This record gives sequence, structure tokens and C-alpha cells, in this order.
Amino acid sequence: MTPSVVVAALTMLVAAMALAFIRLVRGPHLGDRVVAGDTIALILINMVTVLGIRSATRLFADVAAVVAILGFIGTVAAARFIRGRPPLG
Amino acid sequence: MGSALLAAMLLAGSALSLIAALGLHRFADAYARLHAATKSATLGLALVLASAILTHGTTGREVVTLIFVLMTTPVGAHMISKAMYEIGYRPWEHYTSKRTRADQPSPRSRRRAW
Repeated sequence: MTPSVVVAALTMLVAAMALAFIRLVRGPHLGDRVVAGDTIALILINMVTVLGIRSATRLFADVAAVVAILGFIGTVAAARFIRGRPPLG
Repeated sequence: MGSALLAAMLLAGSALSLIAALGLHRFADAYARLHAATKSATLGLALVLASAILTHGTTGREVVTLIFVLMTTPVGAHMISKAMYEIGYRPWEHYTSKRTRADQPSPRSRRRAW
């Protein structure tokens, strides 16, 4: 993988994360912010995977898996919070 | 040939993530933003993870991450949209027809939007 391809991919991902952060700050409703956080988690997994391709170590795969799990748990917790019920009720 | 294909997959995945964030930025209500963000970002992540697997090989973690994301992203999107529907969040009126608006049941409770 040539470095220019990696730099182009990371540039697009940084632009995507900037747009998602704008929605996270501006979102008029709490649900918009939760959707933006979910998208930020996906873009972060994407960036970590691209860096793993660049540096050819195995460690970035673990980081991507942990970010995926934490993003899903955060989304589910925020959805339960929006519904206004206690968990498992 | 193979390297060009892997680079194309990487760039296509990153471009799909950028399209997802663009839809998240531009659409008019939370359901449309959810629709734009989850699907294309998931496909972009699948392309990038496949490119990573085909470039350096895998120890199984990339495959586990890919299957986990493909399973959990629709579940999370469904939970958010159902929760927002239940607290009374309405779609933007130009996204719905008059008949759809008349058929909608009343929400369980109305709350102030944060």
C-alpha cells in the first residue's frame, strides 16, 4: 500500500469525522447527538484500521474491536436513556 | 493488479464514510440522518476491513470486528429510532405524506426536546 493512498484515505476520514463532530455539537435533539456519536465510532474504527494497514502491526486490530464494542454499548445505553425507562424494566 | 484493487477498496471505503458524514450533516431530521449514517458507514467499514485482511492477512480479529459491526449497527439504529418515536419525535413534515401523518398513533408521552 503506497503512502499516498493511505494519506488520501485518512484525509477523507478526517473530513468525515469533522462533519460528524459538527452534527454532534449542533444536533437539536439528543437523538441527533447519539447518531453522530455512533457514526464517530464507526469512522474511528475505520481510521484505526487504515493506520494498521500503514504500520503492519497486529495491535490495531485489537483497538478496532474494542472501539466497536464500546460504540455499540454506548448506543444501546443512550437509546435506553432516551426511552426514559430503567434498564431491564 | 492486486495492489491496485486493494487501494481502490481502501479509497472506496473511506469515500463511503465521508458520504455517510455528509448525509449526517445535511439531512433534515434524525431518522433521515440515521438512514444516511448507519448503512453507508457500515459498508465503508466492511470495505476497509476487507482491504486490511487481504493486505496483511488476519489473526481472526478483523473478521470478528467485521461480523460484530455488521450485526450490531442495525440493532443500534433500530433502538435509537424506536426510542425517538416513542418519546414523540416526529419526522420533518416534508418527508411524510398527509395520509401517513393522519395514520400515526399518538405517542406514549411527549417530552421536551433536549
